Amino acid sequence: MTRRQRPRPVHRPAGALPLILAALILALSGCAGFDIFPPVRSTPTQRPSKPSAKEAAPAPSPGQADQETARPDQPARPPAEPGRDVVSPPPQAQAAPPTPRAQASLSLTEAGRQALESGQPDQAIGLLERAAGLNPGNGENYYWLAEAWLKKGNLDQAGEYNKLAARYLGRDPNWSGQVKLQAERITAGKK
Amino acid sequence: MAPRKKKKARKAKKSRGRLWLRLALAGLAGSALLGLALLVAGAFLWTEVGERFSGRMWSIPSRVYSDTTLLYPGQLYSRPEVGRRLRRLGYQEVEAGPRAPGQVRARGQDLEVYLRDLQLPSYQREGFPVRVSFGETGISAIQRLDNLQPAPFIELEPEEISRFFGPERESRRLVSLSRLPRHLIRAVLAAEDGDFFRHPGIDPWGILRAAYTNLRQRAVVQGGSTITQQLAKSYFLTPERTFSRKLKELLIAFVLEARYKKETILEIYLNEIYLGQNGSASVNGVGEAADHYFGKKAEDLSLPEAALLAGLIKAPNRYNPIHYPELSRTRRDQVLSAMRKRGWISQQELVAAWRRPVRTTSRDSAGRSAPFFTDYLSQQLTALYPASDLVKLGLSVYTTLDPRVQEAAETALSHGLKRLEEADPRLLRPGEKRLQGAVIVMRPKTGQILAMVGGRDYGQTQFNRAVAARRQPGSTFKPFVYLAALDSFTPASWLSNEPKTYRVGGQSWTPKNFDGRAGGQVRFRTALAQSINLPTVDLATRLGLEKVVETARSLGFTAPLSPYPSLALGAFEVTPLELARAYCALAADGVLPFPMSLRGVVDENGRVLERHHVAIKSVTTPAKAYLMSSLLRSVVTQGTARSLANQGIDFPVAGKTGTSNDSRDAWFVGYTPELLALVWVGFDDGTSLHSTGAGSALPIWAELMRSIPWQHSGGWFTMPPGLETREICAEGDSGQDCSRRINELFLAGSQQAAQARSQAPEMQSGSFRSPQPREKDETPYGHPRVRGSLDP
Repeated sequence: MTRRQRPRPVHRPAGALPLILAALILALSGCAGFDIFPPVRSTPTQRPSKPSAKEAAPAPSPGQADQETARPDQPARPPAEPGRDVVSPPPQAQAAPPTPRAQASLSLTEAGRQALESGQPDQAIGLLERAAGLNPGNGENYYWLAEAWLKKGNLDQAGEYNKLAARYLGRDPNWSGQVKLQAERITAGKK
Repeated sequence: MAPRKKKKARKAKKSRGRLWLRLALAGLAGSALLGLALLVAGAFLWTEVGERFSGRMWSIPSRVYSDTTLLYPGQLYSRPEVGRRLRRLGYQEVEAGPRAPGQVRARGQDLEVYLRDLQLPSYQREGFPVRVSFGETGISAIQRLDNLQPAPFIELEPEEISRFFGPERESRRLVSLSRLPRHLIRAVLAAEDGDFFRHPGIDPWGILRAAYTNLRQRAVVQGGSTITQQLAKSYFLTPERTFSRKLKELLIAFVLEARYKKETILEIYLNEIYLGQNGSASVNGVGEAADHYFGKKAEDLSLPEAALLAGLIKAPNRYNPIHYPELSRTRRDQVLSAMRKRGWISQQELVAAWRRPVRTTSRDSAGRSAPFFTDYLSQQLTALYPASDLVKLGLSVYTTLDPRVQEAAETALSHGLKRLEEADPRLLRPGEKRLQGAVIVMRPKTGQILAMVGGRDYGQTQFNRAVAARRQPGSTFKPFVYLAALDSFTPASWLSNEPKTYRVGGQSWTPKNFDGRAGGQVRFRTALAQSINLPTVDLATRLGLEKVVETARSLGFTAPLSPYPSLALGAFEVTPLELARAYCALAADGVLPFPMSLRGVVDENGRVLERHHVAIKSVTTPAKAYLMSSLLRSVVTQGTARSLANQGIDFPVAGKTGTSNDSRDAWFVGYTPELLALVWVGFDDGTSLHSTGAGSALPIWAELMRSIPWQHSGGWFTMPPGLETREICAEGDSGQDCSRRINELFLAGSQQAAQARSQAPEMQSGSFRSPQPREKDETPYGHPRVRGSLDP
């Protein structure tokens, strides 16, 4: 049986032109000081960037002995047992670095946010739901879920998630403003 | 004389000529008739063959998949556990690499895995290689091997848990010729019909060659049937070896060749052929065979694997690589040699392929098919698709099931029920009257059902108690009475523990505590933690039973609820799923989720048909939900569920034990921020268990939770706004002579209410009684031991 000859694919060496262009762009961006690659962490528009995980959380105000003042996406230490004797005032809550579980959840949140920005709300919701299942204390998650449902036009679910975002991020100075604005957008949409 | 002879001779010649002419004419007529007959038969068969071989000729069973598995660093997932998960997904263990999706390699304490692509209704992700490192407490690190970046998490693809078969129980994954590797196609040709592309349907040279080879080898090594003939054979439902059948098959073969291109015939063949058994279902087509034997897509088959499958066609059970690896290897090598003979592979390829051992993947499915969950899922599905579609269309159904949690739930229930029967022989009953149970595991925030067990033995009864059994919740309903009361009562409020008779509509009812003791008053928190009946009824009636009904309705209880005092003790019916869902609201900031088992449906071409999302509805405030979780935490730390601490549960849990009237039902519902599980134990016919929720259901819950350590974060809820902590007097009298103070949690702004309620309430019957002096056996946390406690 004769072997059918197939034409071999012809390899052309990559032109130098694309490389030069790429180098130019990189050089220019470096000089101009603007990022052509967007930052990885999620940031809603027009607000300062979030504090890094290692920064200490604001000190707890007196009289709120059991308040968990760490960031909402960190696991809270269980509050002092009601019914337990007050032995000594509880120690100041320290800002602990996020647990691996919380980190995994935040990565999923980030993936969800990116999906939302690239115009895929269903994909975003799938990812954000997974993040919520992994770490229900992740407040950012609910904010983006509300955004996704707003995009899909379901104001009921958007409102529910906005409420959850408020519950977890209400005291976070970086987020509370955005959450309130989102609530206003939802109410406006309902009218 | 000569002219006459000549005339005779000429006449004879003429008559001979005429004879020949007549014969020729007869022959022509005969062949014309035969040809006509064949044409008619062919025309008739044309449409038949068209119907049989074109369009949707196969029933492709729809497949049900579990949820994906998330792995992240720091998770308490052991190396054997992850390895097992990968084996169940059909990952092939390799010594070098991993180089292709679906391979895993053990390297010291690490596992190097090439993840397969993810194709889910909500999102897709391409596969990539990772290294998962393990330490003493589970996964220590995950690193991508393609870009050497640390990965914050990885997702393992869903596991197949069941299929919707049609009556013929054929299993099949469709492949298209253009996507198959060339060596697979050539292997099949070499094994079965090397000159397929050249012959017109039958191959006389092939027949002769086969006869020759068979004679030489003195055994039937080669068949003479072409691929087209084999396909024609499959047109008939039953095999026959008569001459007329053979003729029919021949005709069909010709029609096939006339009607279809060679490539089409080959493609149909590659999807049709029988390649072995998978339990009670048959393995049909190379796509299914590649998955069944090697855990791969047909596109990813290597040369020796392709040759092995091609060799199977002749005798799939004799050359089954799982059971007869040696025979399988011999046959594979034969096919490889045939390929070499035709010049389709080089000598080096041949030798390299010969060297490879026969390595199949054995999926450790061990009957873990979650039948109750699948039934429940089917109910959701048949609302969307008729059953006839499900068995034919080859849909992929994605669910929320976690197979590992499902397995843990089934095992815990089975162990627990056996233990109960051994401890109390009264519970041991035969056959269908056996002690039963149900387990549901959900994510409270999203309503996703991770596991569902509807009974002890699906084979015996398919009744799904988790969703269909209507049982009395008993004390597991009490938290909702306390929830309803939070607007006007606080955890420090005093409730009456005095015996009392309630008169409603001409009937009277005198509730009793579980241990028959009564007297004095107890705090709101203590009454719930110790599950004391009298204070609960007192609370419900002072609050107003309509409020209790309203709260119950808002939490999704569908049973008829009459505003009788016995409502407070759970004297009505619920399904376990209803009850679990209501507790989800307490665990999820007051947000009630919709129970979710179906994530989405994708058709066989990857097109998304359905995509389901979480649906939530807030029914109470986060502050109240947090307060309830705090109260239910006391159930576990100080109350009826405190034996959990001795059962290996060392992370914070909120929960409630439940025992219904006459101990007919034993419940335990327990939750953390991430996970909620409900266990029910009882007899279908309502016979008493002679036991409590803490005694029967709680140990099952504990065993379940112990066996899934990676699910627990060990964390607790963060306190939402709207709450404050205040000190109250342990003894109850707010006054200067309070010797011991304790912390208590209040809804912000409920100070007035707290002060008002901190006095002992007025009672309708009996006189006011001052608090009892402290008993000697007080609990370690300063709560006075009250009379009439411990209704578990």
